[in-house]
Amino acid sequence: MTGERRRTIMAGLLVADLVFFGGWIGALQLGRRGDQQKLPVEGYDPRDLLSGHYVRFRLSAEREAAALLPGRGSGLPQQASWSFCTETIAGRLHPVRVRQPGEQCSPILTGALVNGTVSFGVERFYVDERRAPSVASVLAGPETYLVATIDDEGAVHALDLVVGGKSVGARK
Amino acid sequence: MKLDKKVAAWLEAGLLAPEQAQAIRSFEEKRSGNAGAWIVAALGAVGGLALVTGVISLVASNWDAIPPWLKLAVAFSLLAGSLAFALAFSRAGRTLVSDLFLFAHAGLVLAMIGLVGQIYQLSGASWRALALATALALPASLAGERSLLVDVVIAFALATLGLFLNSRSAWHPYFYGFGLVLLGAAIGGALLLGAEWIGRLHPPAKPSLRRWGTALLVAVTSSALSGWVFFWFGTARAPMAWLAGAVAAAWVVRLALMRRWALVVAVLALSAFVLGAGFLGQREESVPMRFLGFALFCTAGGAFAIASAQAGSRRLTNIFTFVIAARIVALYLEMTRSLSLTGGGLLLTGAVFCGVAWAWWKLRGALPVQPAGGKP
Repeated sequence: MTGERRRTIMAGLLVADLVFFGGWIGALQLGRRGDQQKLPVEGYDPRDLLSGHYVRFRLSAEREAAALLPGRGSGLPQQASWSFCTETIAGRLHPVRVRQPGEQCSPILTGALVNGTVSFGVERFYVDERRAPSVASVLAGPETYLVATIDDEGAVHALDLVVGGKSVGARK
Repeated sequence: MKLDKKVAAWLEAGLLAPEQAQAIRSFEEKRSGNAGAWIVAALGAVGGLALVTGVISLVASNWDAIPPWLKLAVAFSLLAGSLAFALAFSRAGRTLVSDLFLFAHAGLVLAMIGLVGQIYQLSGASWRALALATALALPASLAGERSLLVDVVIAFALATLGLFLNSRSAWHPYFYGFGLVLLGAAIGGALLLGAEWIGRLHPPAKPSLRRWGTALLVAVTSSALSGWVFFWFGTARAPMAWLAGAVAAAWVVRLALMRRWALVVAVLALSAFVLGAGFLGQREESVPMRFLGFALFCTAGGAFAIASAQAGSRRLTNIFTFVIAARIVALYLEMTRSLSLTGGGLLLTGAVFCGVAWAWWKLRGALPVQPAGGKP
C-alpha cells in the first residue's frame, strides 16, 4: 500500500470519527429534550468499578411491561422489540398496555424482551464519587426514581437518579 | 565485552584483518552511543512519565467537578488530534511515530465510547462498544505499517467475540466442557491459515496473525493436555468439534498440496489430540487412554520438530524436542508416582533415544537438519 493511500485512510478515519461521534453525541443531546418523566426503580447495587462509581438498578416498568405481554412473555422470541403505552399514576410513569400497530399514545416505552423480562436499556447510573457512600446506605422506596426524557421512538434517556428523595446525579 | 571476545576470536582465526577488527569496534561504539546520552534520556523519560501520571491523577481526583461538555471536548480533541498527528508524521516519513499515534487512537476510541456512556448514562452491552472500537481500529491498522496495530484489531475482535458469546445464554451449551477450547482451536487455526493470504494483501498483518494463532493453539494444546491427563472436561458438543475439525481439514489439504508431509502428520496428530480431549469427558483414570494421549502428543511434537528441522529452524526443532522430553518425564511421574522408578525409566528411555540417534547417524551420516533458509 502506498504512503498516499495510507494517508487517505487516516484522513477518512478522521472524518469518520468526527461524523460518528459528533452524530452520536448530537442524537443523545436531542433525546434529552422534551418532558421529564419519573420512572420508579427497584433493587439497586452500588459498585465501585474502574469506570467510575455507578449504581445498578432495575426500572419497575420492566417487570410491569413483561406482565403485559401475551402469555407474560413466555414463548415469545428473544430480543424482539415491544412498545407500550404509558400513564402517569401518582406522579410516576407506568406501562399500562402493549401498544397496538397504528395506535396513538404518548409517551411510549420501547424495549426488548430479554430472558423473560423487558429491557428498556437503562440499568446503570453513574454517580458523583463523593456522593456514592450516601447512596450505598439508602434503600429503594417510593421516593426512589429515575428522572428521564423519552423520545418519540420510546427510548429512555436518563437524566438523574433520585434515591430516597435525594438527587445523586452529577452536578449540572 | 561479548563483541570484543568474538572479534578477538575472529582475528585469531584469520577471518578478519586488524584494520577490519578496529573498524568493527569503532562502528559498534558509535552505534551504541555514549553512556551520558543514555542517562540523560533515562532521566528525561522518568520525568516525563511522572508529569503525565501527575496530570492524570489530578484530572481523576477532580473528575466529577469537570463539566461534561469539557470532558467531551477534551476527549474529542485527543481523538481527532491523534489522527491529525499520525497524518502529519506519516507525511514527514516518520512512520513509527505515526503508528504510535494510530495505536493511541485505538485506545482513545474506547475511552471516548466509555465517556459518552458515562455522561449520557448509557447501559448497552459491552461487546457493542468493543465491536465499534474494532471497526474503527481496522482502517487504522491498514493505514499503519506495523503489526502492532493489527494486534489491536485482533485483541479487540476476540474480546468482542468473547463478550458477545457470553451475553447469549442460548449458546452456552455449545461451550460446555471442551467447547470453548475447540472454538479457540478453530480460531487459532483460521488465523494461521489466513496469515499467508491476508499477509499478501497487507504484510504487517502476517506476523500478527501468526502470533495470535500460535498463542491460541499453544493455549488449546495445554488445555487438551490437561484434558488427557486429568480427564476433568465434560464432553464437547458436536458443532464445536465439526468447526475445529473443518479448520484442521483445511490445514491438512493445504499442507498436502504443498507436499509438506511432516506437517500433515503433525496437524493430524494435533487435531486428534485436541478433538480427542474434547470427547473424553469425565471418566475414571485409564492407562490405555493416557498412553493414547501421550502417543498423539509426542507424534505431533515429533512431526513438528522434523518439519522445523527440514525448514532449517534449529530453534523450533529444539523447542519441540524439549517439549517431548518434558512430556516423557511428566509421563513417568504420572504413571509411577515414584522418583526411583521415574529415574530408571528415564535411563532406559535415554538409552533408546541415544541408540536411535546413533543408528541414524551411522545410516544417514547426518542429522536431518538443513541449513537455515533451506527448503524441505
